[in-house]
Amino acid sequence: MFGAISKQITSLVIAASSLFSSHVTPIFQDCSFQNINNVFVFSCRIFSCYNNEIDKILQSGQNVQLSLTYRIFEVGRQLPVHENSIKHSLKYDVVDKFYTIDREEGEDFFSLDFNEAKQNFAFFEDIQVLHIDFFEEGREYILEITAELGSVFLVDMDKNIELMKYWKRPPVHRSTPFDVSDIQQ
Amino acid sequence: MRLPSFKIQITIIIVILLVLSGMLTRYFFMTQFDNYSEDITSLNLYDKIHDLYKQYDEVIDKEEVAQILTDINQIELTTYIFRREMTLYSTLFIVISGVFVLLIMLVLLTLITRPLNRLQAGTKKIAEGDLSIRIKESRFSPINGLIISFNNMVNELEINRDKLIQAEKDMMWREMAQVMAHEIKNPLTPLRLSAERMEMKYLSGSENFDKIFNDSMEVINEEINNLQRLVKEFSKFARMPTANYEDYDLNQQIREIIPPYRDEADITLSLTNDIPLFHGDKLQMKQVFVNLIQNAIQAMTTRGSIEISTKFDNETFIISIKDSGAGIPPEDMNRIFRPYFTTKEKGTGLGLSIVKRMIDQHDGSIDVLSKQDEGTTFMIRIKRNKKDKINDENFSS
Repeated sequence: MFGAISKQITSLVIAASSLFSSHVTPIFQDCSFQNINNVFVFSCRIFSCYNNEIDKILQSGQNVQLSLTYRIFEVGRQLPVHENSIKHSLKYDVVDKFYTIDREEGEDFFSLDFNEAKQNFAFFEDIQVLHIDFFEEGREYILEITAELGSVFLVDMDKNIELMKYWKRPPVHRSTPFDVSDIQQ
Repeated sequence: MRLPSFKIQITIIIVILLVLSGMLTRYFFMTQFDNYSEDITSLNLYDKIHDLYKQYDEVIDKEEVAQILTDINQIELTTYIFRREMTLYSTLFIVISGVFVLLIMLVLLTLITRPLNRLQAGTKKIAEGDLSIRIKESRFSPINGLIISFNNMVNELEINRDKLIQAEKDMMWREMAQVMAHEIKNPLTPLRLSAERMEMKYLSGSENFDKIFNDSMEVINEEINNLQRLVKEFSKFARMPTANYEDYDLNQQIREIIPPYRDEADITLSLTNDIPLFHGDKLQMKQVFVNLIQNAIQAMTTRGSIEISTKFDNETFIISIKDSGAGIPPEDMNRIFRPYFTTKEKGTGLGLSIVKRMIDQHDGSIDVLSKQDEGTTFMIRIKRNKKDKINDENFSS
């Protein structure tokens, strides 16, 4: 009786703390932009975007999507002058036990190692945004990047799992204002 | 350490009981669920099917195996997520239920205890004699019926008290009228007889008219004196003089009063020597002792004994006067301090009433203990702090 109660109190404390700790707060790191062949490109990595639930879902064989949305703002304007999205999809082959990452910006990536697959899933490299002619002399711009996980629908169980609920909030990165000369360098 | 209020204690106990019962229920279901999911995991279906496919990959379609393995993963995934959600939601449920019950209990207990506190304050007021008190009704309180009954009861009490006061006044007037009639009637008979005797002897030319005249005039003067004394007693009772307080030795006062009464009773003094100075009206207190001693002497048909004692206890002067008389009948005990109540043939019924009023004026109390054929004891209690009180009153006025 008392053993059960003390066990319950312990699990309640753990559960109560997990109320706040099971969610992760993903952030962008290593964000950079550059000019490659007169095209404005950027790279970034999302850190701290997995928890146990997301790991389990990634390993279950379901197709999981990670969308990256980027916007170019002219300084002083509310609306973006350019906006686009790009996706990464991760799927585990349950028979042959390897991971496939379908990267919209380039070639697919294959891995037998789960951690390696997770790192590549959250890494966006040299994403082509616009030709540099788009940027006008004397004006300043800001690059804003956000990301979100798609929901997973278990067809046979008719159950939808919203992966975004495991993120406290979507990560957002806003660059420092730049002008065309910064890109040309 | 001061305990929290009854309301808080009850609330805490109920919330703890609720949380404990919720935790036990949660423990039971979570344990059952864990056992069930462990049973499924222990089947190791994923590895078994995977190994089977590896052995017979030439004859088994990969897509079909992939679908089965995905389904098994889905079961494990949903079980895992379900368990996590159950843990989370059951915890939330217990916490929310606890808070909800806490709030409900606080509201309910407030609805109960607040009117109860008002009722308690109301009963105190009634005990102090204030019957004008009414408790505010609380429509949502479960004890509103009790409040209504309480108010009705106080209403009835107030009406009955007014009736009782009126009845007592009527009775006092009747008793006073009886006493007055009796006291006036008594001297009237000798007055009339003396006047008739003088008239008769005068008209008949009696030889000893002078002697009869003198005798009759003596009776007439005596009865007129009696009537004057009666009027004086009544007027004295009607206007009690204001007390003139001073510090004096109570024992000494008693010693000075006693000598004239030693001829009529065996008086024993038992006076405590180290009592402090008494603060009171010396004349009024003398009247109190004289009345009580006379009352004691009159209560004894033959020569009896009177014991007078003084002591100072718990900041209170206690004076007792005990006689060895016949005692007061139980049916008269409640009436002895009432004005005009007397059992004596020639009494006015004002002696003990005056004593009571004087003791009241000293903020004291007088109690009477009496046993038939054994005697009566009058016990006076007067607090010592009277002086400070008087000074305060004078200052504030």
